[in-house]
Amino acid sequence: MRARASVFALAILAALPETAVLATDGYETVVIASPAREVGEAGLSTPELRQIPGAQGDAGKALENLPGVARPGLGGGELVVWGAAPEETRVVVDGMEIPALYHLGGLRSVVHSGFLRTVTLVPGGYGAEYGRGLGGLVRLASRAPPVYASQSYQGELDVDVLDASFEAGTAVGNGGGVLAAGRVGYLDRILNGALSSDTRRLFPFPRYRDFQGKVVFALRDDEKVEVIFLTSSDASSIAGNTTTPSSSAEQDRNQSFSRLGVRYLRRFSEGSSASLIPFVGWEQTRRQEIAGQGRADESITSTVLGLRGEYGAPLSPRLTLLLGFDGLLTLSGVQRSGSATLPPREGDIVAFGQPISGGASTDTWSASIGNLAPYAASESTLGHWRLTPSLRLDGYWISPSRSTPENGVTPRAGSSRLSWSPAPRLAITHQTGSWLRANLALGLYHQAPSPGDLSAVFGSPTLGVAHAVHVVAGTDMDVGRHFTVRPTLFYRHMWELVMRNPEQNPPLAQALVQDGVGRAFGVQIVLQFSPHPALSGWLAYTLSRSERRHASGSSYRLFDQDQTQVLTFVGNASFRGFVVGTRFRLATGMPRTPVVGSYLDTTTGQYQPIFGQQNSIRLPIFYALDLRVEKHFRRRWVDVAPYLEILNLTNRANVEEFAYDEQFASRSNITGLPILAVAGLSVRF
Amino acid sequence: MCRSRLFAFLLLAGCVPKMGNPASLITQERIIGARGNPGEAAPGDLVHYASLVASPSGTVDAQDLSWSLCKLRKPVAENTPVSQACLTDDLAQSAQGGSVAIQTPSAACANFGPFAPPSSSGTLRPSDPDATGGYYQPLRLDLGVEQAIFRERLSCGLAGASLAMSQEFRGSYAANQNPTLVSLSALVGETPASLDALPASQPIRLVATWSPDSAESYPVFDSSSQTLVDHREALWLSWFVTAGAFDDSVTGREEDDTAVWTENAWQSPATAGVVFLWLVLRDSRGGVDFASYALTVVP
Repeated sequence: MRARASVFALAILAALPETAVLATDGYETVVIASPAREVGEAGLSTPELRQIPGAQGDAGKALENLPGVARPGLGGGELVVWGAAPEETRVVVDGMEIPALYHLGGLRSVVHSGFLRTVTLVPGGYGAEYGRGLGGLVRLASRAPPVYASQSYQGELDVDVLDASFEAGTAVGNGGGVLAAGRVGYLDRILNGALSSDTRRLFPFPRYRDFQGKVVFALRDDEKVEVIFLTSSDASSIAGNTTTPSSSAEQDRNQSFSRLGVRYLRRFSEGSSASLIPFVGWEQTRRQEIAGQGRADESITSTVLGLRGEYGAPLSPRLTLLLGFDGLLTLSGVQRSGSATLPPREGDIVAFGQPISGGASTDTWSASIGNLAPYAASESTLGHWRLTPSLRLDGYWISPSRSTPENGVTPRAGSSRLSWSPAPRLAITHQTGSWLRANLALGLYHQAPSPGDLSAVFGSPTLGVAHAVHVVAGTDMDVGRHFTVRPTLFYRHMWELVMRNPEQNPPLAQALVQDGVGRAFGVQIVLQFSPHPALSGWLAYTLSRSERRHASGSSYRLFDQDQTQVLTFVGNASFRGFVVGTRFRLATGMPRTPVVGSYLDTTTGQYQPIFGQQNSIRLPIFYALDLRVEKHFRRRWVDVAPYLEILNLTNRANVEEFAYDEQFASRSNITGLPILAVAGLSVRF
Repeated sequence: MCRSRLFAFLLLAGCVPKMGNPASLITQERIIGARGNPGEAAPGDLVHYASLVASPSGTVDAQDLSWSLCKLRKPVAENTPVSQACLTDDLAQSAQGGSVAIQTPSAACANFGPFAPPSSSGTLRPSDPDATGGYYQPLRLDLGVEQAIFRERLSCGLAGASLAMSQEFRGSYAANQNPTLVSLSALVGETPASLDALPASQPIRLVATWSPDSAESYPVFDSSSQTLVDHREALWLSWFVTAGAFDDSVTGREEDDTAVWTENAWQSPATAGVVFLWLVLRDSRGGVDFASYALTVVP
């Protein structure tokens, strides 16, 4: 079932479990109701995804405007959903898990919007079809290539100050087709000449590129095979003062991944359907930092093998059954040297610009992490009730190559362990009235440790699976024909999280421990409006709190990326070929630990901070108003659309970080974007 | 002062603040250096420590300076050279005065070295070495509200290596010696100038030299490859002055740079008079030397 509406409807509904699907079908943004819920006709006009100010036409960037998503810091590029850490949210493209949604720096997502049919964000409480993450879920679905019946080819070229991109597709044979998209970023080359050396030293500007390809073979009606290829590559580099060995500063980061999958899809005459996708992938991340005498170097190379299959069948008009399995095996080789506290992880107390301290250890290890999860789900309708119970049985195999640090000629001894973690989940919907619907979703979720945490020197080879419980409750209320209100309550409890070992004398090979406990809870209210076909938007407000602590007696502290309040307004209006969009964002500043004193390390000559209570102060509140104007010129087979985005229209000096002088005696602010104009041009045919 | 370029028309033109006096300008009494002799000590060795305390009126003989050994290991979670508790806890005073002698604790290599302290609950994690393979015993220096840390390099031997490798390391490793500052000279333009008669309001090149044996060679054990890797000490010089302004607070030489001198540009003050200047020379392995000068600025 599909309903055309605006991208804004999607944004609002995405806050609820398994509901919203933001879609780009061809060049038009639509909302598609998920099988589990009926979104229905939103009755809004059709402002496109590319018209959201600040997203520069990027579907992935548009996710940052959704309710429940924390405002990312300048150059952050991390998706914090309902107080979950970025690495706890999974990103899946056509059933293939990918390591990140955004390129380094967060300027772009790693998949071109023109390649996508739908983008779905589920902040929590999703069903048993997906797992391996304690946080939210982002699902990207590629679109179909053109077919002869409508149009044999189509394409798009986009150029703006960030990058250039293309998307093209053509029909091949009877029902088959080819689709390709890609992007090359060049912002770093432009900015190298435009910005001060201080700014370039503080904010690395990434070089990025990505490519997506899809070939569809139609075997017969309702049966096809798709070959899908994704690749993305990023690099960023900054170099600071190098006049002396004690004050040099460099940072180089590289990350890349590829995925190649073959997906078989079959729809049977009785209404059932089956899909199977085996895939293979490669990932590489490299991070090298030098700051004074401290340095850190980490390289992770992984081979990924995945298999996902699903069969769904209606057993009766009121009962549907879904059976499937979801497997992923990651074989990683890791090399790391330098300080154990670099890069910092959640919970570390650091001040911006603080000299790197600590040791210079080295370790080389490999880690194999496998997850195989059979699952089953059913959906039944009983009067006004719809019940969707599901069960996933997560089997985790974790095998690091070393249990203890390298020691002379002592032979290597690794370990291997297998654990099974059931993950029951339940979604209930009650259609209370024609204008009111109540939803409840809850479930158990599990996540394996990162290969980089399984070091006998920098981490712990004994780390196991972390767990979380999600509870989400909300209602959809239609107020008249033009307004919808959707309040949602959420609670997430996490345990056995991986954290630094706080002890002064930790046991050997236990620099990390699995005694972290976390909780995130809050309420969000969304008002969606569409008083006129040419006018639509939403107002979303989230009040939340996310906290962490060690299980061993410590009290809760704020999560490093906690944002108490996030308010977002997005509105769009269309007239005479113009599309004008506006966005207003207000967000509480993220927590920081105050510097209450300092001392001179006479051995290095550098001052070091003395910290107060962890995360007891915050960056000042952020707000910004953005504006976007787009004009379409249609000439026969081509649509030319120049656009202009003006970001931070009020030229508000938003504080992105606290900075300290050399002696940590005085504090000042690093501010973000001044008023900026971003221009671009899109040509579609 | 904000130094961002507001005319930048693109994204991410962050505004970088510039604040406070540079660390090289002495405006109040401050601990700016400390030295242990010898530059590397074994547990139980007696080490003679000296401090350098600067003030706008010259070097201070800090008789009230308190020296306290810290025996608390740094948790893995802390991104600082010593445990924060070494700064915030009450520590027993080991000595008092500008120059003192303190015996290195016998358990120093267990507390801060490669040999983890004994434990009834299994093997503990040893301390991490620094980039030079060094381990350090911290001492806290208190002078009123002013705090500093000195870290005495420890001779602990090698851990995590084979017997043959340990023997090879012992044969090739020489304990760290403090570097030695030799001279300071001044140039106005290309003309040598006397430190007793430097012109006011002029850019002056100051050149400091050290002895050729200040930068020592030493092996570092690479635990991942189980080999010894030869290194040479880098040297860097911190500059302090009571008036005028340096281009850089710190200058120096990387480990592959064999020059025995470094220079800094100093903008002399507009007012004639005596200006105090201090140099603190440090090597990669924690060795320190320092020197004080009284410059005379003339109209």
